[in-house]
Amino acid sequence: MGGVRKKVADIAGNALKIEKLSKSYGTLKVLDEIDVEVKKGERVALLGPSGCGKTTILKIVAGLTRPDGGNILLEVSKIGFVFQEDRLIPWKTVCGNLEFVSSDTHKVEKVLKLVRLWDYRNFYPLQLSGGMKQRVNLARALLVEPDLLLLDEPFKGLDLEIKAELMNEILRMCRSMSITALLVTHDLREALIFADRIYVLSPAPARVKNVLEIDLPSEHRDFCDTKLLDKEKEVLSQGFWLPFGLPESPLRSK
Amino acid sequence: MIFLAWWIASLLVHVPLVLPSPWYVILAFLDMLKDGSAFALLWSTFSKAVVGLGIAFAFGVPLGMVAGISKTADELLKPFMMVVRSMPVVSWLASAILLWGMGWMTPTFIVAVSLFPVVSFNVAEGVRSVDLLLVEMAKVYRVPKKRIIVDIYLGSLVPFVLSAFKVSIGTMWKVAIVAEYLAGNKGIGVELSWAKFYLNTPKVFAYTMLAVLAGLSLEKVFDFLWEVYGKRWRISPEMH
Repeated sequence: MGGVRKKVADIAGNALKIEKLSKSYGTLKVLDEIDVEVKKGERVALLGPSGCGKTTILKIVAGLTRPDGGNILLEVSKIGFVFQEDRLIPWKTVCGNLEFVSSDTHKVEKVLKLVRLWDYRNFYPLQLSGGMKQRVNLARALLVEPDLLLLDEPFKGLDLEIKAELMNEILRMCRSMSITALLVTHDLREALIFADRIYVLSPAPARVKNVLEIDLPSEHRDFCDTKLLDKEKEVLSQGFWLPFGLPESPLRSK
Repeated sequence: MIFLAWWIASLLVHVPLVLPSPWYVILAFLDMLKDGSAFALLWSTFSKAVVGLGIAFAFGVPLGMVAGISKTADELLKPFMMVVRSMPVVSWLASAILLWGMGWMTPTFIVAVSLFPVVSFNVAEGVRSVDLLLVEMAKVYRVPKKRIIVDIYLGSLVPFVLSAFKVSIGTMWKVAIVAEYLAGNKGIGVELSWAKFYLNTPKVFAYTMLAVLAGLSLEKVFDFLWEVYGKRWRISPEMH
């Protein structure tokens, strides 16, 4: 029996509700009865080890993969997706890549200015740095004026400086446009900076191990902020977190 | 340098029938230009080569696309493609002469049949190389299917089609001249055959020079157009 993904008029203030979501690839079970709620305007992170099925959750929410069981209830219709890989068409310019998604040139200009890439509009993806490509990826997602923004490890492979810049960019957009966002990451610090709530997932098959409410003020949501680092230590000290249930390494125990 | 080496070699060999002096060849070449026969010959060979190339693309592109999209079609087409690829040109020639005789059709057919496997193979590879992550991205943003086909599928094919084109324009001259030599009634190959028959070696060399210059010029024109219009497909990170 397959799962259901449907748009509903009202989910009690939630933009997205995931109920008992299950998914297997052949004999490999990757998701095991996942429950997640994302309220309107809220930023939520799904935190789990690589390969635990986090991306599969986003793909199911986006309608790219069918679930085996459970429900995906969406109160929103417009979804923006910031992919892990930039997924830019190499033979199209920055502008061309955005116009591929929307032919509204005014909107394209607006989002490119928002992500501060207007001066690079005629550049091809290979002429851009990793951080710039991810900003185009973000601009493309914003172009559809999303009610729900899905972010699939958008900071992967970026160095700290660019990661911080992109994170600020995304947070700025989410706050100014009141966008509901769901981030997938394996990095605790990224999740702490980004999210109002974190769902900690176990290794595959992924189950929700814990839910953390993060009440950090926005000024402390920075990669090097001491309050954030304290929060990180506090979360780590709770023990459920590292290393995702795997045996502790000798180095870590020292 | 080439001419100097050639000149010295001709002096050493000292048999003009085997290796004539470059001066005799240049004189024969200038004669061809003066009486205008060079252009008529070029046009005759060029038209056959281009029509043959067109036929190769007309059949090679759709067949390559089918082979690239469907594994079953690829498996079904493989034996046919292998036969076409490995069959010697003279075997095709024998059948073509019986069908159309000596004339325009036979060299054109030979060019088409020689280039067809190159085109279809490159196109099939192009289709297989389409980045499915881009297609997935387009689906998320509900991009119409027509745009996905034009902007992603055909866009991915461009470098492969152009690479097939580049290989083909280099090959088409050689194939067209050989086919004319053996079964043509007009063109550089036919004149080469007559010059050889009358043991007019300087003329053989002059026709060869004409064919090489024409082939090189065509490749240069293609490279220039690729340089100007193909920027987006061969752009490199170093340009940043």
